[in-house]
Amino acid sequence: MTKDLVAAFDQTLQEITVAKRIEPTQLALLEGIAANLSELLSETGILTFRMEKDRLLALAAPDLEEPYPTYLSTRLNETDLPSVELSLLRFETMAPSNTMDFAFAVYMYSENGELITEGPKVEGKFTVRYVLPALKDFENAYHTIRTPATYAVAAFPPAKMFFVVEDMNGNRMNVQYPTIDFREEFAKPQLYNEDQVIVVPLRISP
Amino acid sequence: MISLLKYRAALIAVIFGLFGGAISHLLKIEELTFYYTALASIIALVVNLMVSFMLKGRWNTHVKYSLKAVCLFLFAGLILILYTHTRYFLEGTFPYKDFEGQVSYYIKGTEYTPVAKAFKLENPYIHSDEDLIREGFGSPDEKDKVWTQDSINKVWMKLITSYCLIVILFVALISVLIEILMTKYGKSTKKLIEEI
Repeated sequence: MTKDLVAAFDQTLQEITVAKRIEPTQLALLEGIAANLSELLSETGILTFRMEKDRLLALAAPDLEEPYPTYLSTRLNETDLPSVELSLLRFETMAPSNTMDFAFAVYMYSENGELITEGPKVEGKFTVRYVLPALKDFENAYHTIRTPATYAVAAFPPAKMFFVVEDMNGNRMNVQYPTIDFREEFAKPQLYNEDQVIVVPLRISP
Repeated sequence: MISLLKYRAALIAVIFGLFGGAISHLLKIEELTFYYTALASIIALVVNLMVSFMLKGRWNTHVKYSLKAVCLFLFAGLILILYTHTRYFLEGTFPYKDFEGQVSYYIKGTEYTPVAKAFKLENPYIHSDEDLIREGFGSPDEKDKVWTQDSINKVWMKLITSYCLIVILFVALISVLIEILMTKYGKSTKKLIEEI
């Protein structure tokens, strides 16, 4: 297929060179061949525009459709799918996965060492704050998740973050493992909440 | 006029499409994807037209040998700049894996900020810039906290410049060869192609 297109392109170019002028039909033919060659030979050729990338991602992975704009649902059509391998499209459309939502639950050790994972003692009682590990000494660099745990949800990159847990009076609690590696949490998720978001437990002691 | 431009644009599209889009992949840096694709196409079109214009004129032995020398010069320059660009790419970018393990490349700087220096001192097990970002600074979006903006800009300029030079030399060499082979040695070239 590619060889035929290149041969046709070459033949047309030779005709143009000999005639020293270009006919509209020849021009249209060259454009058509160039477009087809670009699609055939360049994985990225058909993925130039973001809208197109999003549309193809939605076709490749329908379960990821929801976060994308509404035009996806109206324009989505199996017949629009170009003749390329979907695995290639997955590689090209990796940008949206740079961050991912995680839900935080606060687990508290009672005085007798029992781990409390739910109930009025831990739910809605604590605020989760986080910061880049390199900036943990800078109070202004901390971000606060607006909703209290359980579940406080926020998006994170595949990297480490440093966490603090505060009660409603702003008193900082003692977190057992304050540095969370989100790549590991994604690779080995232990729990999901009702929205199928990975739950990250933050264990505190009173 | 428009036809000439369209014909040249089609030719450039084929040159860029050949070899699996090799030219586009030479600067596969996540932040620059749209910038360098547009830049390369514009440069290529202008260079192609300039070459076509400069080759107009009387064809004699002197011109023939001069063009051979030019082709050799362009080829040597292309090899040299490919080496330089590869070195700049290795020195001026860092890889970053997303959640699925796909690697993207981002431009880094050459001078660490005081915060990054302090973090590296506190964590002597960190050796690579990828680890430095992942362990202490989250994502490439925060790279201006790791390197000074001035040093990032300098690396950015070096990469763009070397990439532009690759495009200029590559397109110039290909354009000169196509023009000469097709217009001055049309019959022998056609015969050779038919034999292949």
